[in-house]
Amino acid sequence: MSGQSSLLKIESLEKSYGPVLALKNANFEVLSGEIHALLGANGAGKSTLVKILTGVISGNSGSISLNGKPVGFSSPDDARKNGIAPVFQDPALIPDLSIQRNLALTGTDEKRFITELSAMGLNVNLNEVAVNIELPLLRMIDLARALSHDPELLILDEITAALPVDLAEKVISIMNSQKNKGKSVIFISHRLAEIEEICDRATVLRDGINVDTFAASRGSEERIVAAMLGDKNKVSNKLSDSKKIDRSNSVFLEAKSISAGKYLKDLSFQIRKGEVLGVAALEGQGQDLLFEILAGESKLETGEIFVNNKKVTLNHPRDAISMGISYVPGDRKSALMPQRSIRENLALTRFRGISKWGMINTKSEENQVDDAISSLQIDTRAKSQVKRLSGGNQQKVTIGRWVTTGFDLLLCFDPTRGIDVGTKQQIYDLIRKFADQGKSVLLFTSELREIQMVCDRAIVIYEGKVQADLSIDLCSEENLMNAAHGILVAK
Amino acid sequence: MNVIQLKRQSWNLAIILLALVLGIWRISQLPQFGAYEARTFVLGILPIALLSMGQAIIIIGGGINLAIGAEAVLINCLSARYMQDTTFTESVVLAIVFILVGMLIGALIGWIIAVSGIADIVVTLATSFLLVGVAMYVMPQPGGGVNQQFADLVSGKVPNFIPPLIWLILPIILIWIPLYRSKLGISMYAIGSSKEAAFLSGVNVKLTKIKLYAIGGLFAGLSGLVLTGITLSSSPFANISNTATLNSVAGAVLGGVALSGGVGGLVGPALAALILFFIPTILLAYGIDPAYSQIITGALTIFVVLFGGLLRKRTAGKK
Amino acid sequence: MRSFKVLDESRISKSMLSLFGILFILYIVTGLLDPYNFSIPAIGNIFYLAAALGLLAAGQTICMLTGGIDLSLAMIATGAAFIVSVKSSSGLPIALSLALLYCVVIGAINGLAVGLLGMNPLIMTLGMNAVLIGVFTVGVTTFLRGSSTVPDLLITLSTASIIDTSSWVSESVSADPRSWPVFVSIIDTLTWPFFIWALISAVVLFILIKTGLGRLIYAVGDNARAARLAGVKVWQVQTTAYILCAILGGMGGILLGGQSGAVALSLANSFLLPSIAAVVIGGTSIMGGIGNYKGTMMGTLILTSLSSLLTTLNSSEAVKQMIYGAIVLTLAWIYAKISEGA
Repeated sequence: MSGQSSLLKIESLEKSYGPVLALKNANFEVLSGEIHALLGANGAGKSTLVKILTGVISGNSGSISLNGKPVGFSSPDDARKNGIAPVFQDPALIPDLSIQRNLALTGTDEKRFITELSAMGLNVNLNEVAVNIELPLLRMIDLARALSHDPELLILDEITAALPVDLAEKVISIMNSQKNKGKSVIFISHRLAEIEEICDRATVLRDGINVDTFAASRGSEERIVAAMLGDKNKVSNKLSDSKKIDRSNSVFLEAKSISAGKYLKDLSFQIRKGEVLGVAALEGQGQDLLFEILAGESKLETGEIFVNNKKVTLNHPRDAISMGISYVPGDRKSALMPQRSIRENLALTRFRGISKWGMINTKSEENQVDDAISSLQIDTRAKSQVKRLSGGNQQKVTIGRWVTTGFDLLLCFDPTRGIDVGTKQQIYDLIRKFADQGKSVLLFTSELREIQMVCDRAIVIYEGKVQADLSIDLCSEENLMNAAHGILVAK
Repeated sequence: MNVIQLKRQSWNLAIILLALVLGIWRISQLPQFGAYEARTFVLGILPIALLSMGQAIIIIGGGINLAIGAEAVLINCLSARYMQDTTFTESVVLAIVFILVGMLIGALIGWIIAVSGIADIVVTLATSFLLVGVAMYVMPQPGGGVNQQFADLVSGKVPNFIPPLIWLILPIILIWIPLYRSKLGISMYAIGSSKEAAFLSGVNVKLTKIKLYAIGGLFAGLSGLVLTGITLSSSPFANISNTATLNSVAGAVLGGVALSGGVGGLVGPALAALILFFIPTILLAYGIDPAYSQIITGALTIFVVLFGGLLRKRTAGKK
Repeated sequence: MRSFKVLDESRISKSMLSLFGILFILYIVTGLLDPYNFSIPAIGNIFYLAAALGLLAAGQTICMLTGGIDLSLAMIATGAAFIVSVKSSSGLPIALSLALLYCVVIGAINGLAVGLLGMNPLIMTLGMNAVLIGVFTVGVTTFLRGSSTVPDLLITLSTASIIDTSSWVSESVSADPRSWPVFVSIIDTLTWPFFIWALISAVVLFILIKTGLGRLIYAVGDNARAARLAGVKVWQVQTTAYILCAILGGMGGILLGGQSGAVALSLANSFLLPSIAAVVIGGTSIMGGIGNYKGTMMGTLILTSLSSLLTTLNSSEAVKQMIYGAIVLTLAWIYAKISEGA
C-alpha cells in the first residue's frame, strides 16, 4: 500500500448551507489503484463531498489536489476533464434524448462506449430514447459512458442499490478491472457486505468530519457501524425481542390471481392480522406495481382483492385508506410536501374528505401531531419545511402520517433505502410494534437481510408469480436469493 | 422504432393532414386558385409562423416566453419608424440591425432569467409590459412605413409568392437544421428534458438558456420585420402583442412541442400557423362573425393540448 | 408546538417587512412629489383603487397556490360585470345570480379540465380567455344585447363611502377634502369597496389558514401526488380553487364595472397581468405550495401606489408601461434574492 502514490487528496474541506455545516474539516485521500469506500450515516456529509468532487458545488474552504496539483472544479464538465467521472443512483442521462444524442452531449466516443457496454455483456439500441430504458440498464449505460472517458477516478454513488445481483456483480468486476489498470474508484454503498468484499480501504464520515479510515476486510462491519454511529446507541443486528410466532390470526387481505402491466401475472398471497409479511424480488419484477395496486394508486387488470373476506375495488388511494390500507412509497419525495411543515405533512390525511374541508380543530390536530412526533422520535429541529429534514426523518414523517391516521395494513416499499443504520433500526422496531398491536405490514425490501430481521414470513416474486412462500426460519439470504432467481427452495 | 418516436411522427402526420384538409377546403371556397391566392396564404401565416418557431425553441428548452409578442411588436415599431423614407441599401442594413436588436433583447431576457432564478413566466410577463412601453414610446401612434423595394423583398410583388415563402423556409434551413445538429441543439433538448441531468452531463444550463432566448428573439425580430414589410406600418398595442404571444404558444403546442419541454421541432409549429390561419378565413367566407374564429381557435388549442396530454398519459401508463 | 409557529412566522414576517418597506418608500416618494398624497383622502383613495385588483389577485393567489394560474380571469371578471349590467333589467337578484352561475361554470370548466383531464393550466385558461372574448363579442349583438349601464345600487357599493359625510361639513368647505376635519376625512375614506375588500380578504385568509380546504390547496400545489396518496381527490381541490378564483374575479369585475359606470368588453383586460404580478410580488411561488394572501394584499397596494405615483408624474402611457414592467421585474428579483437567503 505504501508504494502507491496519492491520486486525490482533500484537506480540511468545509462546506456550509446557510447556518448548517455539511462538511467541517473533512480530510480524505485516495491512492491510485485503490478502491476506496466512503461511508457515513445520512447527513454525515457524503453527498456534499461527492458533489464537491464532481464539480456540482464548490466548498467554502479547504483544498483539493489531484496528482499533487491543487484543483477546484467549476462544473461537472470541468471535473470530467480532470479525469473524475461520477455515476449516480439516478442516471444522469437526458430522458427525452436518444442514447446517441446523450453520448454526443458529453462528447463520448460511440465506438468506445459500445465496447465498454459489450464488455459488460450488455447492448442497447443507440436510437432508443433514455426514458424508455429500464433503470438498471440505464445505470449500466451511464457507467459505460463514464468508463469511455478513461477516468482516473471513478465515483460510484449508491449505484448498486436496488440493482439486480447479476448487474451488481458486473459493477464489482468493473471496479476490480479499473483497479488492475491502476485507476482508482470511490465506492459509496449502504451494503456493508459489498464493501468488505471489494474495497481496499474505507473512510467513515460523521457530522462532516472523517472519523476513521482503515483497511476494509471481512469483519470490519462492526468497526464501520461503530464509527458511523459514534457514541449513539449501539445497534444490534439481532431480532428485536418480540418473537416471531406465526399467529394463526384471521386473514386481513387476500390477493387472488392478480395480473397487471408487463410483470404481474396470476399473483396470489394472503396476509394475516398482526403479521409482517416480507416481499423479496429482483429489481423490475413488478413489486412496485403490486404495492401501487394494493394502495389504490394503480389499477389491476384481472384478479381480485379481498379485505376481511370481502371483495373490494380500489380505484383511488382513498378507497384503500378507507379499507385501512396505508402506503409508504419507495420514493419519499412522492409522499411528502417538501415546502410545508412537519405538522402539515403529518396531518394531511385528516382533510381527505370534502366533509373535512371546514374549520380545522387545532387542538385535536396538535395532539395528534405531537403524539406522532414523540412516538416516532422525529427530529423536529427543521420543522418549517420537511425538505430540510434528513432522509431518515423524512421517512419517519411518511410513516408517521399513517400513525396519526390509523391503519390496519401498512404497505412499506423499501422504507430503509438510503437511510442510516440508526434510523433503520428505529423503523424496524416501529414495524414490529405495529405487528404487536395486531396490525399487518407488507414489507418490500431490497436488502434481503432485513427480511430475517423484521418479518414473520416472506413471499418471493419471480416472473410475476409468488415463487416461494417461506416461513421465517427458511428466510436465509441464500434461500431468498435463490427463489428470487427462480430456483426452487427445498422446504 | 419506439413508441414515442412513432407517436411524434403520427402527430406531425395529423398536423400535415389537417393543414391539407383545411387548405383544400379554403381553396374550394375561392373562385380560382393561383399565385395571387398562394401569396395571400403565405403572407397570412408568415409573421405568426416565425413567432411560433421562436416560441417553440424556447419551450423545447424548458421555458416559455410571454414577451415574444412584445418583442415582435417592438421590432415592428422600430422598423416602421426608422425604415421609412430610406434607400433600399439603408433598409437592408437597418433590417439586419433590428434583427440583432431582437436577438439582444432575447438574450437580455434569458440573462435575467438565468441570473435571477425567477420563473420564466414571471420575467417574461414583466418584460412584456416593458417592451410594449418602449414600442409605444418609439411609435406613439400606429403608422410609419418602409422602403417599397424592401417591402417587395419581403412580400413579393403581386402575385409573386416566392419571396415570402423563402422568408418562411430559409430560417428553418439556415437556423433550425444547424441548431438541431449542433451541441447547442442537443443542450436545448437536454435542459428542457431534465435540467439536473443536463448539468451533470456538462451542459452550461444558464448560458444555453440565454442563447435559446437570443434565438427566440431572432425569430421574434424576423416576425416583427416581416410584419412591417407586409403591412407597411406598425401597431404599438399591448393587445396585439398579447394575441401574438397567445398564438405563438398555441402554434408551438399545436405543432407538437410539449409544454413540459424537451420534445418537438420547428416544422410542426410552421404548419400549425397555417391551420390557425385557415380557420378564421374559412369561417369568414361563410359570412360568420369573425368572433367565432376566436372561439374556435381557443377551443382548438384546448382540444389539441388535451388530446396530446391524454395520448401521453396512455403511453406512460403502459410503461 | 409553540416553536413551530415562531419559525414559520419569522420567515414570513421577514419578507412581509421588506414588502412593507417598499410600500413605505413608494408612499414617501409619491408624497414628496405631491404633498396631497400624504393626506388621508389620498391614502383612502389608494385603498379604494386597490379593492378591485385585490379581489382579482385573491382569486389568482388561490389558483397559484395549487400550482395553477388563471389567464381567463380578466374575461371572467368582465363577463360577470357585463351579465350583471345587461340583465339588471330583470332585477338585481336575478342578474347577480346569473353572474355567479357564470363564474361557477367557467371556473368549474377550467378546474375540471386541469384537475380531471390533466390540462396545462396556462394553455387551458389562455384558450378559455380566447373563447370568452369570442363569446362576449358575439353576445353583445345577440343574447346579451341591451344597456350595459351598471345598476345604481352596485355603483354605490363600488364607489360610495359607507357613511355619507356630505352633510357634515359646510358647503363652502366640502369642495376641498383637505380642509375637512380629520375624523370626517377618516370616515369618508371608509368606502364600500374598501370594506368589501377587507371583508373578502378576511374570508380568504380564513379559508387558506384555518380550514381543511386551505391545507389541501397548499398540499396539492406542493405535491399533488403526495396529496393523492394521502387519499385526497386532487381534482376536487383544483376545481374548487378555480371556482373560488372565478367567483372572486367576478366580484372584482362587478366592482370595476361599478367604478366605471358602464361595462365595456375591455373592462378588466388591463388587470390580468397586475393580478399575477401582485401575487408574485407578494411571494407566492408560481409553482404552488408556498405563499399567502397577506403578501398578495401588500403586492396589490404596492402596484396601486405605483400607478398613482406614475399618474402623479403625469407620465405617458408608454412610460407607465415601461416603469411598471421594470418595477414588477425588480421586485420579483429582490424577492427571489430575499427568499433565497432565508
